[in-house]
Amino acid sequence: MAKQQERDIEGASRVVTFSRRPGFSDALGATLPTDQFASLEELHSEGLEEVLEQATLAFVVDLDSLSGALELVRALRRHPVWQLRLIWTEGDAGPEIKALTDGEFRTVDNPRERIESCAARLATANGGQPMRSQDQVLLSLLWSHPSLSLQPLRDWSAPELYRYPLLDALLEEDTTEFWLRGLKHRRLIEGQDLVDRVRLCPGCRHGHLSFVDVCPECDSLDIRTEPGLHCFSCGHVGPQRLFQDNGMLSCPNCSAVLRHIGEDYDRPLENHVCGSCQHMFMDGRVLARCMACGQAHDPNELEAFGIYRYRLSEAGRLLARTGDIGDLYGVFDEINYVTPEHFEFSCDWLLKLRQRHDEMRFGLILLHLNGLARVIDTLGHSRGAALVDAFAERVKALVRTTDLVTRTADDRIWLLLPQTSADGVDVLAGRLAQLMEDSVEGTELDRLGRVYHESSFGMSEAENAAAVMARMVSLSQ
Amino acid sequence: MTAILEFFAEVATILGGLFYETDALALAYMFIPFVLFLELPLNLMIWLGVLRYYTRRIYAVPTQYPFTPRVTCVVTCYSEGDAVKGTVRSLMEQMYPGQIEIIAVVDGADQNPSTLRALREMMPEVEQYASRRLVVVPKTPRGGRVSSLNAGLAMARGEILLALDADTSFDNTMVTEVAGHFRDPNVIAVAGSLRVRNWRRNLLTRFQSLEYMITIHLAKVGLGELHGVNNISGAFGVFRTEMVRKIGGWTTGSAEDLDLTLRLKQYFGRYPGFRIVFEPRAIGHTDCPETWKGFLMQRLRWDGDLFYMYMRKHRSAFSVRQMGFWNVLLGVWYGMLFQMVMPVLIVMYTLWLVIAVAPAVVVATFTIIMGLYAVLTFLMYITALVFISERRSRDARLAWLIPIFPFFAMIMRIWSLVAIINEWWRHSNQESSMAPWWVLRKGKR
Repeated sequence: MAKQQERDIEGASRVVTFSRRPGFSDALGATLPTDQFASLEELHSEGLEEVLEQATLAFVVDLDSLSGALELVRALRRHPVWQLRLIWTEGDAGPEIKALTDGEFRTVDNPRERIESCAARLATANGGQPMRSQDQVLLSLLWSHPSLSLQPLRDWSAPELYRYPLLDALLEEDTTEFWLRGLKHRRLIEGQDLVDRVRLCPGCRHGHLSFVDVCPECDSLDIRTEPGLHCFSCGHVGPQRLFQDNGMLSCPNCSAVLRHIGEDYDRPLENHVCGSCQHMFMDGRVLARCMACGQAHDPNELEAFGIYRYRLSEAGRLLARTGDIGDLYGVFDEINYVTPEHFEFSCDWLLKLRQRHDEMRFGLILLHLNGLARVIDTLGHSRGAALVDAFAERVKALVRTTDLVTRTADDRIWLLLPQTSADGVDVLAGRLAQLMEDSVEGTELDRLGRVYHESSFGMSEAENAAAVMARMVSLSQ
Repeated sequence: MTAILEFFAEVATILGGLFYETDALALAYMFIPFVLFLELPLNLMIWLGVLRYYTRRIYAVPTQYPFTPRVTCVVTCYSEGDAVKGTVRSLMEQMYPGQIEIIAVVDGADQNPSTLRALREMMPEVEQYASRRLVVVPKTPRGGRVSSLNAGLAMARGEILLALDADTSFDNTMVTEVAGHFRDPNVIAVAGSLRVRNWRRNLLTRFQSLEYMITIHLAKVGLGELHGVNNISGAFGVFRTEMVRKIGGWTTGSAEDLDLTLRLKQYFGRYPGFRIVFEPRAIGHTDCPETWKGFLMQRLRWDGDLFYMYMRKHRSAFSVRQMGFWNVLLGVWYGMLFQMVMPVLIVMYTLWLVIAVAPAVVVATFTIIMGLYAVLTFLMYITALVFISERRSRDARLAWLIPIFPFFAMIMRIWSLVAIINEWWRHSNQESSMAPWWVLRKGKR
């Protein structure tokens, strides 16, 4: 029986439901073959786990009948094989479950089509390569599940007051905070809508702050409100008790008798008194004290942190499809490679040398391979990789043994050409630009990247290598 | 031109001849009896009273008694608008350590929504003061000031009742000063002293400010010291709540303040110990009329009401059995002779003078009379400034008005006669704008 089942299951679309209600999967009315289990453990104990791993699965979780629905959903999202599958829910979902799942089953018109389109996307995700990092898993998940996004969840126990359940579930290394920051930094995700803005302690980035008002003079906490008076004849402001004089009011400063409000005196706006230095003031200084690290900060110094719902950016979507292309650039590191620091030092040295010896001349070329991602996207990973390899071979042929090569960002390759005239630099740059176009000939793309060059004649004496390189980078942006 | 010069030369001759036996002097002598028998004795008495007050005060040991009964301030509001805020605020600001309950009665609340709104806006501010309470009473049908006061009286929980006007604000020691008097169980009421708040506005308000200072404030200090307070001002009167309840509150009609004073005084015959005190240190600041028309209409009402009260409504009260000898004497002398007979005599005398004597003599006579009055005014002014005033530098700025003040006083005298005749013939108190006609009709005529 098991063998028969195995054959049925392999490669086909199936729905696995989790419910304690008998007949739940039949009541769903799905046109797909369904299996019902009460829990992951039951599935496991029936020995069907390995069998079902072969199938194109989607899950439906009956939230009303399961007590540990949240744990089940989390476990599915952590499952090495099933974590990228569709998970639908049935019943009243809490915010955390909503953030982890693909929505209610009832709202899906054609489950089979959804399951198949998701599976098709997953098959081509990451350039068809197996997923190695948590980044790849997350990006593939977001790419193949259009209804999923990085949804923040308000949580008083989270340091930043919000957390992302999806990140928590998929996290393998690092912390979610740094992971998210890395994703944002590489522009792989973008804010879809701003959910909230929280203030974080600049010392420890905790959002649990206590705001206290303190004396602006001595920062003492011991302040109280007390009625104050403002004498019109001398302008003295003080607490009322110091003005009281035998049933009358008289100014302790100029001893004028204050008889009538509005005529001789009025109530000042300063009605707070410090208990330790007796200073009178209008508004206390507000301090934000962090409940985690105990530091006190001015509220203006707090880090305003926007909590967004994130979705894949264009770059993220590209990366989800093509996989990580960072390693492709590695082929350039075999051509006279020096570290960026060494490169910059050498360039600086040449600049200094030029000041002493007028005959010194050199050139600097920047290859910006910004079209590479698009090449991989259109041609596929393997063809793209071959193309880049070929390009790198031809660059290698052009570079002299004395030239230095380095790579700053993934896609920025620098060439330092000593003892090269301005014309020589122009010629080489022209050849490289031609190469950029030639290497993608026969495809619908126009070029692999752009070439920027600068000869030592174009550099002023005040500039150093860092400035020149920054200037060229700004051209390439 | 020469005729005018000759005329003034003649006047100068007559004035120069003052030191000889001339006609002008004889006529001036004719005038002097009024001064001697009515005015000078009264002023002498006032001076004596002021001296007594002053000596009593400087020798008094400053003491504070633990006597702080609850005080209820009934503020009668009408169309004052935001101005009531100042009044209520000045009451909350009182230094009095006891409880103060402020009952603001808005008469005709439908017609005066801005006043009602202003009072309601005060509510959160009142909560910041301990032992101060504000009760706003919107009285929808208009019933006049008397009905507001009686409504306030019905709600009052304090032992002491202050009947106050919404356009009057008070010094912050006012309640402390007046409440202390009630330590004496014989004190049934205290009259407060009023100052003119808008005295800086124009010449008329400055005149009125000087008048309040000399003829009202100083006279009340003097007479009050001799147990002869003639009137407890309606804008600022303080009563023992029990006493006002006992005599049935305020009665309908204009001049309800004088009416209540006279009714309280009718107890004096049976209870010779009872006293009405004037407290010069309890100061209220009120707005006086700024136009001549407004001023004359106010005085027409005041003087007419005086006549109405003394001659009509409370004529029978002036008996020794009712008020006691001293109060009848002072009432007849100050109230009737000084305030009612004098204007008649002065106007008749002046008319006779103009008809019977040559113009030059008339001018010379008037110059002498005005001079005499100016001297008298100056003496009173100095007395008030030295012995009574608590804001001397402010009062000193009215000194330049003294030479022309007698003319102002003369106009008021003549106008008093008009008011009396108006009241005598026309029963003008029925025309008062202080209450609607259907309320006034109920009053005793």
